[in-house]
Amino acid sequence: MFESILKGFEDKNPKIKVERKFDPSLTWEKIHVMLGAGTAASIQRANDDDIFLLLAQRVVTGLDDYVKRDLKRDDYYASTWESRVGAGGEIGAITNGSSPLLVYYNKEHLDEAGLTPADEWSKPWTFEQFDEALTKLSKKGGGKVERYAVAAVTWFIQPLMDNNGAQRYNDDETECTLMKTPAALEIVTWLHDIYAKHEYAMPLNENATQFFNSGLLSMHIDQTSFAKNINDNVEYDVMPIFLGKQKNLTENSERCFVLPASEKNRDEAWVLASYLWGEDTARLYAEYDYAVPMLKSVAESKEFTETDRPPKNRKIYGQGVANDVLTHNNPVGDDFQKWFSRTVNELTTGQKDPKTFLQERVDRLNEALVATGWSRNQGWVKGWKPGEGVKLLVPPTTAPSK
Amino acid sequence: MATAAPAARPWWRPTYRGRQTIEGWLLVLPVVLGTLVFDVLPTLPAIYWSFTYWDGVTTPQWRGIENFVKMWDYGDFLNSLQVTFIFTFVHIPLAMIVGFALALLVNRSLRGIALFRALFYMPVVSSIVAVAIVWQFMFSYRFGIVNHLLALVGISGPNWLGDAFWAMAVLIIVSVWGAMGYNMVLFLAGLQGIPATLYEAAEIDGAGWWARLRHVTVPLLTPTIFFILIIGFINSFQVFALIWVMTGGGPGTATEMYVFFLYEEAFRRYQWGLGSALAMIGFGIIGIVTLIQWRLQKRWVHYG
Repeated sequence: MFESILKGFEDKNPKIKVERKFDPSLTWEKIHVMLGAGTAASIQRANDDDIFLLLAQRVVTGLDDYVKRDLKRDDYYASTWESRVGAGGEIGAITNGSSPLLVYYNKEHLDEAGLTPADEWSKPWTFEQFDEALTKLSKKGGGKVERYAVAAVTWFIQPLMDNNGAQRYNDDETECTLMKTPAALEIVTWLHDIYAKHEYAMPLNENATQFFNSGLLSMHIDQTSFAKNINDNVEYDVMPIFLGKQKNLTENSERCFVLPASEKNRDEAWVLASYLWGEDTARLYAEYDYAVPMLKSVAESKEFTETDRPPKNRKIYGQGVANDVLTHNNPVGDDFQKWFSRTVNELTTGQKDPKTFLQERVDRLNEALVATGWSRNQGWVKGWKPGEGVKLLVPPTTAPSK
Repeated sequence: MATAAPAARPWWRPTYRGRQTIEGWLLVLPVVLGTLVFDVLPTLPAIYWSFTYWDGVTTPQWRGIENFVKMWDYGDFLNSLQVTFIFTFVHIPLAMIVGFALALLVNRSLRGIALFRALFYMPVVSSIVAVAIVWQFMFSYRFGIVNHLLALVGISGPNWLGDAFWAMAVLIIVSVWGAMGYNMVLFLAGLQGIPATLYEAAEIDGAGWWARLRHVTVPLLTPTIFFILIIGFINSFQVFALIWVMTGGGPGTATEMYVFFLYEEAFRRYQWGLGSALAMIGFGIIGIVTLIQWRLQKRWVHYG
């Protein structure tokens, strides 16, 4: 696919030759170091979770001026400009594709249980409907689970809390406020119960793909890339994330490219960058199902939403991207990921009760926030450049990214 | 009869002993240079970085002993040490006992014994990632073969990789399975080095199988046991790939062993200074334990 993209670019820009560097040994950590060392490619694939840090470390170029000059922001989903940004909202990456979390479901199982799936993001299942579906879809025999109702990726806990009305931070992002209202504890308790108490949800250490393909799992909350792992003999479709107490947002994983700060041919590199954001690339992303294009006209086109390829309800893909919970771009983003996503199995296996689980994480996040000296309003990031802070490339926005 | 006195050795020509020394050094020079360049020299900047705050990209900032003080406030640091020591102190004796038992079994001249030796050794040469993935499937809670076999005898198997205790047990089982072939080969070499006359003498004195094992075999295998202890401790402290694939350090941080924790801090949280400091501490722990073992060997290791 990338070969096709680059060939298309070179055909349209005959004066610019692109040297390809495909390296399967690359890891996000290695790329990060290459960016710092100035040995990265002119347009470098990078980890979406690292964009904030890369900007703070000044190893990638802010793209605001280029975007303002050459692109129309309204042509793209809002998260293109609001998700992978720096301390002051500066655009740090060419975010041209996304993979939102959606609910993949086994059609036969839902039919058998008499459940009607939601097919529009604006008309999702309510929380009660989802909860009821869990009891109807789960099957037990002889005290053992014969079929799990749902499985989810570990980071689903993040939009789950947000949708239930939990507030992650105070306005200045100097304190984690998850324990200050009951919303987070309420939903975390529910999550604990569906795993550890009722066994409706498949344990996180099991293989969801295997279970879904074997008919042992009815619903799986995962990114759009999950569809490629589903066997042809499984009749499935996709529906939006269910409604929490306040909203039904989802969490996106973006496909990001960066323009290194060390790049000398910046203007030429931008020509390629803008092509990656353009329609030709978006169409190839759609054709290969690599990611949901951020360009709305392609993501919502009939060519993408009404194909023979499953799932049938592909319009949900673009709707998911449009309903992104938006990542908190701050120095403790990775801490949040670790403590709420990577170690969520402490909660789901019942080893920690919900209150202890939540309180420990709030305490850790608060320690981390104090250690960095982060303040959303001041934009001071102690620890990256002690004594200097980080100079914002653009002034802080009045409505900080959440 | 007149004899000529031998010519005096020129100052630049080495003595015979000197020549031998030079030849010896020339022979080991490739290994010494390789160790210096690829092992020792890269450690020197790491020692410096351990005293800095460094995110791997911007300039390291000198912070003195801050990293070494800060890490003690990390609950995860102490947790990782605890997890690693638990793993080490259970894994090493088990792997040794299993390896020894296998060595006793294959230490005989039977037709086809070489096949068994090769089979037992195969885990050692198998890809750790492939091994971890297969074992992960086998220990699957609901549909893994281990719980299936347990169910046949009426036992309800636990959620092996989802429980803090059992996840560690699984890691130990898989590690023992992976190391037993290596230990078997070492013990086998040791067993075959024990003179048969000693066993004959013991038999004549009326020693049974168990007595021969206790008073002849084990004492003469103490050099092998000593070697396995040293290498086993060093390897146990560096387990990473198994954790990465099988448990990811979970559930929670129940299997977050030292090197895995170091990796998380250094490469996921971009705390390279702290990671270097953790590496120095790990090096120190391994060094101290090895030194203690070395000193204690005089009391219990019998060299021929």
